[in-house]
Amino acid sequence: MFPYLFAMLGVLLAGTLASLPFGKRISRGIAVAATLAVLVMAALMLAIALGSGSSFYESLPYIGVFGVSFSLQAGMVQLALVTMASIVAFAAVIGGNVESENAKASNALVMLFELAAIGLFSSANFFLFYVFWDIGVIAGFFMIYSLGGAMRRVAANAYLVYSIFASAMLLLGILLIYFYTPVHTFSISGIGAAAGSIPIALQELIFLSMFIAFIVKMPVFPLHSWMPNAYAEASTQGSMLLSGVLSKFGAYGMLLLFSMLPIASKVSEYAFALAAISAFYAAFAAMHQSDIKRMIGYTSMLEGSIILAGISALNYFGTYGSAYLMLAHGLAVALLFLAAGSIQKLFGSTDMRALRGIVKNAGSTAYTFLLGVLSSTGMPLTATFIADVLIFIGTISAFGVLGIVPLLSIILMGAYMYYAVRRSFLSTATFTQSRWHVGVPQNVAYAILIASIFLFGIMPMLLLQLVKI
Amino acid sequence: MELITPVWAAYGIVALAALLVASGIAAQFHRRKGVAFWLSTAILLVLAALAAYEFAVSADFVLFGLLHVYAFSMFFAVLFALGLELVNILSYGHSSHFIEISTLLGFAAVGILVVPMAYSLLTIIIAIELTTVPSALMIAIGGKRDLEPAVKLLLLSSIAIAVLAFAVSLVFPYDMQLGLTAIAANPSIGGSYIVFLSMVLFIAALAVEAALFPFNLWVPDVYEGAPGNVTALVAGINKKVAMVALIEILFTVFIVSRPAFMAGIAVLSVLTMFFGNLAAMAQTNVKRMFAYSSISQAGYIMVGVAAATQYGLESSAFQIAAHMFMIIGAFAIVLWLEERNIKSVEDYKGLAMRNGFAGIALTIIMLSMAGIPPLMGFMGKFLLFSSAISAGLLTLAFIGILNSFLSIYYYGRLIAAIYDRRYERKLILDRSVKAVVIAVLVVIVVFGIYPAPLMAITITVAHSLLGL
Repeated sequence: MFPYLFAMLGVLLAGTLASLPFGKRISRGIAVAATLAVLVMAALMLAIALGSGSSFYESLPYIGVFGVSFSLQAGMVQLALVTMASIVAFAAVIGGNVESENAKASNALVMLFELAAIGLFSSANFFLFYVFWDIGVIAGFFMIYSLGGAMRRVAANAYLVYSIFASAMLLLGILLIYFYTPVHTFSISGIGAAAGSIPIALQELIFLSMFIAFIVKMPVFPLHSWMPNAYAEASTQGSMLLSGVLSKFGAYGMLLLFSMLPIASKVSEYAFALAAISAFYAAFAAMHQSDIKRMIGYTSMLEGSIILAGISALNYFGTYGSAYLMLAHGLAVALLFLAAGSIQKLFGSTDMRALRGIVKNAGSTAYTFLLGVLSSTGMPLTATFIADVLIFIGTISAFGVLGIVPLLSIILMGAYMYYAVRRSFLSTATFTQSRWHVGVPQNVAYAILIASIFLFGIMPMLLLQLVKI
Repeated sequence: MELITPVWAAYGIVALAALLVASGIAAQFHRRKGVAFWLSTAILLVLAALAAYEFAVSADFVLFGLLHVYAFSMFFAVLFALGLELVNILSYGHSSHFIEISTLLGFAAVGILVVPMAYSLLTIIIAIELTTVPSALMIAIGGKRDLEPAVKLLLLSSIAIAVLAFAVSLVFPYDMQLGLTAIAANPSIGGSYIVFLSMVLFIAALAVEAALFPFNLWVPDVYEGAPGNVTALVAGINKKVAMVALIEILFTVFIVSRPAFMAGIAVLSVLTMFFGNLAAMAQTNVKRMFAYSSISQAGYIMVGVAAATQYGLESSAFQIAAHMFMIIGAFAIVLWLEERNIKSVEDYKGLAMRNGFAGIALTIIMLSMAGIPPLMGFMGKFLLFSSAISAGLLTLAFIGILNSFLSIYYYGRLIAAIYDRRYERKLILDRSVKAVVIAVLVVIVVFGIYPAPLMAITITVAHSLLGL
């Protein structure tokens, strides 16, 4: 079979390197072509998987001494995330940072980041997982630092410190697993089979270090404080990719961690409690924000907490609901940040207290934003709805009535977001003058994201039928 | 009949080392920079090729009863010859006293190459002395300020040499032998307090040269005061030579007292990592920052020695190679900027706009030092920490990982400064710095992405030292 995953990585690597020596226009062309090619390949993989129900596995020899091979695999969960990452990256290249002075660097960074994301989601062993994790972290740092807004220095430094701390914890966990499983393996499936023989005390240590690493990235309370600044200060492309894709690094890792270590069943209640606290924290913190981007940042944190809640249910519905929410939220939050980036350009501000009547100046942006809000609060027909239903079936069957608690935070959040939308976007009595107009590229990018949100909302069987019950 | 035999190749290595000194002395008379440079380049490259040949045929014999030609020594001979060549290129482009530097580099090169080959304790002492004295003179000749750094290095290394000599004299009476393996074969070497004292003194003396805390006080002043090419030599090669000597002595002579030195080296390693990283955070001068960062890197390398297993040795050898290239590359750029009076983190702001290549190169080198994949420094740290875990030193591995995280603070700060938006006049990179930096980048990227060949080599190295 054609090695789709290797081909994706190859195309992105070639694109990243090729776009560096050229000017703005050519590098943009290269980026569009490369991300489109990757998107097409992801769609083909999805089609093949639907047709034959098979999963993908590709391998090359790498470091023989450790028994590490360059192996990539993709089942349903991985395929969903790869698809999501390629859609978001494509939309980011089309619609984000179009007129920025640093467009060349930003295109190369998007491709590098997408390379890291696809590599991470499809890596079959933790060695590659860690390598791609750190490539993503560094690409994210430069998206904030060299392309970001006024407070980018503080934001980027906080982001870097938290991220590298997470990397260090992740590395510790990976090394411990490798040396304390009897078979000495980095392979994700191999660890799952062998983890039972790790002593309990050590499993606790491994679980703790990796849990910390992943909640930094998701982000979940109390290790989230890098997030609002980082999302708000990054370039539009940066915000889309950081919140849509980078946060899924942590979520996907968490999914692997819970399915891998037997001790997860003993700590799942604590993880669920933390998720509930974090969800309410995010909802209340969002209500304090007057800046649109920061508000979106906190919604993203809330969804991250819901994902954690679903994972901690440790059953079929919770697990696959979480995977589906990773896909759905990635698309929705990318749409929100793309719209917020346009608002920044249109009015020079993202302060909701100052903005009025956006629908008058920029109808497509206003309605897009509204759709993004509806989607992140789980409106039926959007992908988030499917995910939320699955997750809460899962949490209720695992934790009883308490399982419904995090859902209330979504309601709180939704109430505030609709209020904000009504005030700044839909009121037409007074309106702020725009200094820019939303062009074709932005509208195309909106359309791509909206279409995929509905596609996966109306036809969840595209991904869910791949799961064997 | 073969054209070249391992023994003749070994004679060739010795002859070339002698030729290097001779050509250095001759340079004092003809005084042509170009001739001196190309001659020493040719000699170093041929020497590296011969050593690589010895490694490839897995030679194992002792020359003149003094020089042990085996995989361990030949690996480091190749490595240090390449490092010396990089320093040579750097000095050629940037030293106003290249002829003098060339002479001294010839002498230092002999010491550097002999240390890993040494077959007796006395050879090690002499070779280390031969390494440090010319380096101190190079600092004195090329230093911009006063003689302080040169005197500091000279004084401290002579104290170290004296301690080394005392340590040798403690083990010598046991069987009137100086050969490394001969001493190790003596059954009375284990358990004796005198021998134990000797080991402690060896560690202390070599810790001065290798800049392990608390014997590292000379490092920042010397690195800052010395011209950049000499700093590259001292940080990139001299320190590694002392580490190689330490590994040689501990793993041949004192292998029976392994639990004791494991604990001692682990403590030194922890202190060194913390001191280096915490002090580096406080620096505003980039050269000093790299000086402290190289102290912490020495601590990482010692993690592998503390593990005291074959795996630990492999990882230390890997990281010695990695850090040699990284620090020479870093000091090449620092040297070039220093000549333009760009010294502090503040001055580095906007470097990426003033010279894109230098900005990206320094970023990659620093990311590698911080241990970010897929770069060589990451593989080195990965191997080191995993060797500590596999030897059961969980705490040490944890502290190492924690320190790796701490280091991102100051590397990140400098990287951030490099990518600051500030429009100033462009800077042009000259040929010698460019050549060195490109060579370094190729090494750290290639062995970062595909480390398997170098790992296979370090396995042979560790095998040969442990006599497996």
